[in-house]
Amino acid sequence: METARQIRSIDVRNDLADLGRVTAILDELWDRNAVEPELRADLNIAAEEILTNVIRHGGGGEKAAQARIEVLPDRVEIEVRDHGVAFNPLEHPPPDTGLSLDERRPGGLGILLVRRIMDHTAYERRDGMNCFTMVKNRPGNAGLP
Amino acid sequence: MHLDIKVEHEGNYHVIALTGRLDNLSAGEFAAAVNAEIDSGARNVLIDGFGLEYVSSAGIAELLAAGKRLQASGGNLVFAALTKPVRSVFEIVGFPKLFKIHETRDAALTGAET
Repeated sequence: METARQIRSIDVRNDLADLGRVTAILDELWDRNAVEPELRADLNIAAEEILTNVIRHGGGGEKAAQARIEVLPDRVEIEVRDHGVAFNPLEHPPPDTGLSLDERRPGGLGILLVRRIMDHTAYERRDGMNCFTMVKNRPGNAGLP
Repeated sequence: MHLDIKVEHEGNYHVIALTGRLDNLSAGEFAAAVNAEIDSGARNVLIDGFGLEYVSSAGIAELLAAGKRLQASGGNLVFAALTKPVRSVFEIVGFPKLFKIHETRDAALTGAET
């Protein structure tokens, strides 16, 4: 029988190539929990952006981060924890998206995307770890306890 | 297959039709394909996004780089048939101010205004 609360933890290796495996796990989790199709792109993008940042800028070691995904009836929560140096991506100034093509420089758009496509984002430094949490509300159920 | 890349020549355009996901895993492959077109003399490149599920910032970076290369050589990068998730990411990163986005591939090829 399906339970109302589904939690999945993924250890992410310090290698961008590992993101393919993570994405496959997410797809399977969305399928199994009938997560609305219109949410899946946003959830996958957000997870990729945060994990890419952690792998690129985080500390050494084989394991880069732990991702914890919780599917609830009214929302999906993704928490990413890593042991890298303290870094709050929400304090990072977003790039100016009003510039001309000439003036545009690559980079910095990942966090901007996460902030705009997720309904809630939060950063906390806890027990020597960066903890980044993001929430996407599920349609029709938003606001339920 | 993660991202299918199909290249066709139609009129003045080199059309690159994308199916799947343009993300961190496939961005390099896409960059190689679009750069090969530009190196072979393409000036006007049309990205047909009809089958594109989503695009992350890694894909956006390569699209931006291709747009800059084409503009520098007097060419153009245009888009057509974007799906809803792709359109919404484009809006967040300011692409509608930089590139022409057509409703359909035909509208882009015939130069019809959107």
